[in-house]
Amino acid sequence: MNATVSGESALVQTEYHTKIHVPGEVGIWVFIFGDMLIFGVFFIVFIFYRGLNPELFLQSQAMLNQNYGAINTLFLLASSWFVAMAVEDMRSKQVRLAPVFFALAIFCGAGFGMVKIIEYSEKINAGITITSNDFFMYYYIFTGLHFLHVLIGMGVLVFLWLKARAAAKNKMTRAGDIIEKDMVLIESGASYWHMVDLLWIVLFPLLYLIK
Amino acid sequence: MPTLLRNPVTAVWFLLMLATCLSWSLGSDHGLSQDADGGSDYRYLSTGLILIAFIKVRIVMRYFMEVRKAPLALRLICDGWVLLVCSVIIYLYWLGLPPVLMTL
Repeated sequence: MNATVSGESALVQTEYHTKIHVPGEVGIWVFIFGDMLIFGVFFIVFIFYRGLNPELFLQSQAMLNQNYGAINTLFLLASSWFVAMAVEDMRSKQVRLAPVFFALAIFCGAGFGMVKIIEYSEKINAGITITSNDFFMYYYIFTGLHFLHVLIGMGVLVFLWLKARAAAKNKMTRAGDIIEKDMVLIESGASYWHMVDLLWIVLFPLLYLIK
Repeated sequence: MPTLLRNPVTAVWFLLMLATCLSWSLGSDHGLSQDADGGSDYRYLSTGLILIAFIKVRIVMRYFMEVRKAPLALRLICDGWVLLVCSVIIYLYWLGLPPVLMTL
């Protein structure tokens, strides 16, 4: 019996692995590309104005703590990996670890938020605010808007975690198959969270590293 | 669990973490700013850091967002974004370098 079940789930997994498939709803991708377009313009605006006053941008950048930027990149990458693993686990129709993976992803997202809050408060205590100069104006606007995305993403992750927990519970009582509709929701939320990760991957070298 | 760990997504995640640590050490105060004082290679390092970031972005799209299994249109839009934004950033970065450094 067990062999049949795992055989079936392997089949379902193979289907997912070979079929051409849009992860999540098409609507979420319209939203994701909209966001990526906006942030793409942000990156270009930043690098253009940096070129007009490289001295000021370099001096201001020297006041940032690169370790915060790097640790936050690692937090988001780990979080994204946990989400990807949770989605895989949900697909295998043997939901066991998905709730744990989503919880770990939320934990990493919270770690990002903690570091960001420490970083902002250090800057504000040192008298560095959005009005200090052009570099810090961009720094606060871009990281602030990104942080807003992280907060929304955390809400999405909590929702996915609840879905995964419900699916894990159902497994105990009935066949435990995850409804296609639920899977689309989970993939949509996961794709959004990966985009939040992706935007930070570019912000990190632009704001913290390049000289 | 073992199947999940053997997943290519996990291997890719290790690669992304490694790339981040590489950028971190290349761009840290001990690396770049000394080069900046010396005035030689930091431009190439910065270009490299931007390239590493966009390679990471493409990997996140393909493996985490599963764009590699998505229809051609989605793959093209993603690759188009990476190519366009990355090349404009690198172009503007070089354009904005102070003239004195351009002649070095």
